[in-house]
Amino acid sequence: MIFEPLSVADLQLIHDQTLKILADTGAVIEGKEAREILLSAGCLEDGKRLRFPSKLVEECLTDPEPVTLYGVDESIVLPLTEAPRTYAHNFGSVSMLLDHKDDIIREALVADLIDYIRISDKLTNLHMVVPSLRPTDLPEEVASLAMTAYALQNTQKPVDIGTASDTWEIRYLIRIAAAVRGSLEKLVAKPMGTLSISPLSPLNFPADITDAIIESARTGLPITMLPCPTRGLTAPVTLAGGLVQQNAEQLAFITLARLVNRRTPLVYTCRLAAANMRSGCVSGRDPDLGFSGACVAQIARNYGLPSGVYGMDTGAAVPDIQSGYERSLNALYPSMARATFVSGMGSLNAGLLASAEQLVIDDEIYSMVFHRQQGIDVSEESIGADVVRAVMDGGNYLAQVHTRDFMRRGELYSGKLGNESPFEEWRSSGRPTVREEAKAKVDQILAEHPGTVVSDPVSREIMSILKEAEEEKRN
Amino acid sequence: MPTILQNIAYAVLEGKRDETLSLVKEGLDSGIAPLELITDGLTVGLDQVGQKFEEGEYFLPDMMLAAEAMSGAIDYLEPHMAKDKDGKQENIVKCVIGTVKGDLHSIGKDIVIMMMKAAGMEIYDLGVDVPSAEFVRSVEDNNAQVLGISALMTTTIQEQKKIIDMLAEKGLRDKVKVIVGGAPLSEEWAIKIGADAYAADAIAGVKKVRAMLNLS
Repeated sequence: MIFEPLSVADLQLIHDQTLKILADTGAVIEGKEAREILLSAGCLEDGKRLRFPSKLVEECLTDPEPVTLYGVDESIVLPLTEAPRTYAHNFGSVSMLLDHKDDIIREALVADLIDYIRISDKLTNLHMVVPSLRPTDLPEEVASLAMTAYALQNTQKPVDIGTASDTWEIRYLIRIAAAVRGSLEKLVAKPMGTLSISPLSPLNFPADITDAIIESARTGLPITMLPCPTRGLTAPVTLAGGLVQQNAEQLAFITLARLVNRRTPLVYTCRLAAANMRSGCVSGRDPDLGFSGACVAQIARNYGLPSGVYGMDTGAAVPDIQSGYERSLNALYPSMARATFVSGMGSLNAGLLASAEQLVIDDEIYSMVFHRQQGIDVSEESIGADVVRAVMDGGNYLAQVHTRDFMRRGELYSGKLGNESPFEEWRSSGRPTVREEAKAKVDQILAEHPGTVVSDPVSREIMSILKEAEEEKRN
Repeated sequence: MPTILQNIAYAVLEGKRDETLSLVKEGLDSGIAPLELITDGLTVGLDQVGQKFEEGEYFLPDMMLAAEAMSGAIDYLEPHMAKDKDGKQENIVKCVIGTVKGDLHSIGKDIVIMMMKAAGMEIYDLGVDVPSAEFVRSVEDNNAQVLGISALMTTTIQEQKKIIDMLAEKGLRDKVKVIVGGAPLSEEWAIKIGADAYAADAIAGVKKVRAMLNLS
């Protein structure tokens, strides 16, 4: 069962209008090498902009490279292409957090980042760990590298290698990830994550970004293409217009990446948000966040590419009722549309704030969202007419093999968090709230986590690469 | 029947750029003084826009279109206005604004600029990805009373502090009011880095600038 908000005609018009924008208006492409590559492939110069012939764009869309990610523990495998299901990951790069111990909003520190990674490591419905916090006690110039370095040492799961803003950062991120795998060749063969690169909206690829695309594509590592347009500010206000513009950004990205290396694995990822037309900021309360994610997932699948979309988000600054309903709705739409990745676990306040207890609550929300993602098994066996007969003849559903077997196959949802006790029982046990349960779970996970997952020599190597980067930046 | 001035105010309120301009031309031809066209026509319209925004009836696009209509008309009127001996208008608030080094986000900054222009301020827009020294140089060269520093990314907000520190080094810190903005920022952050004010949005930004300069 897949929720498909766009009709075949919708998809065709979105594709056609995308090609028209790329051919007639084009995109701002800076960077000498990127311009040379695109011009020699037939793009047309139009000042700072390059216009993309439709034939070239369509050629670059054919035969996409399949993408599979592997955990730091290589036995954890996430096949992304034609993924039979949706995977979830946490938010990334947040500097402020809501402390689960005393409810104070404060700056994130390295110790918090390590805690958040270890919590993420243990949550069943979090499939890829993104370096979540951006600690303020790190030297700013190497903060992105350090975040990835700490993430890789504290989880067995696949890890997002990082969001790269230039080639210098990419080279170091790759060295750090390669140190964990043993070599660059092993990393390319079994990547634990992707390199994320964001063009600017609308349709703007500055030199650092095109250089980063070229550098990444040459390595053969998977790239997450990550346009982040906001409807009404950096994209047309309509959902249809926003989808087309981000699609044009994706297709320009694909064209460059695949001209560099035909076999570049790509993940079609988008953060299409809507503006709050009072503040001029991104709206965190927007149900379209989830709905547009569903559309993006469908467009990506139409091109044979795995997708990544928003998912959970909220305007709320604490894990409260608002946070609960906004996150659930925005998680549900794209998951029902079977986006490959949904994001946002553990973030609050439109991504400005992180919360460990929210991370744990989100594990529960995704567990509910994913429960019926595959739809239902309607078969004679699952319906069990003979079981009805047996019970009517004097049996008991509880004592049926059918009941036990289907229960074991996950037919019944079994929650881990939240109350369903009768109120008398709930009252006598001290009226526990879901936040209190989540806080206790955070403490429990941290107390039980085995700690650093990589060997001492690997840890030392990672930290020495980090030191080298820091020294290089300083000189 | 409404007067030309009332029609000008209404055209601004409705964000009609061409109509505002042609009404202003008509007013000028019929002998109304440029300053009167601004204060009793254009500004009346913009004030109504501000009021509607505060009441929740108007949104940013309404404000932007009105501000554009207004600044188009002001550009036209400028050559007709009284000037001082240097050929400059007197008592105008001068504001340098830009997005920090390493940050290419311009939308928020552009909204602020539009609102400041509509509020009659003179803007020196440095653009995006602006090196710290350039902010400082522009403040000094233009003798600006206000410096607006925009940064949208958690990775670039540190640049705001660098600029403020550099202003202090050059002995300019007391000569200019520094206001910072950007989604990851907070009042706390502004205090921490030694800025004079933080504004969450463009409307608040213009208000805070006016308050800091003791303008009504």
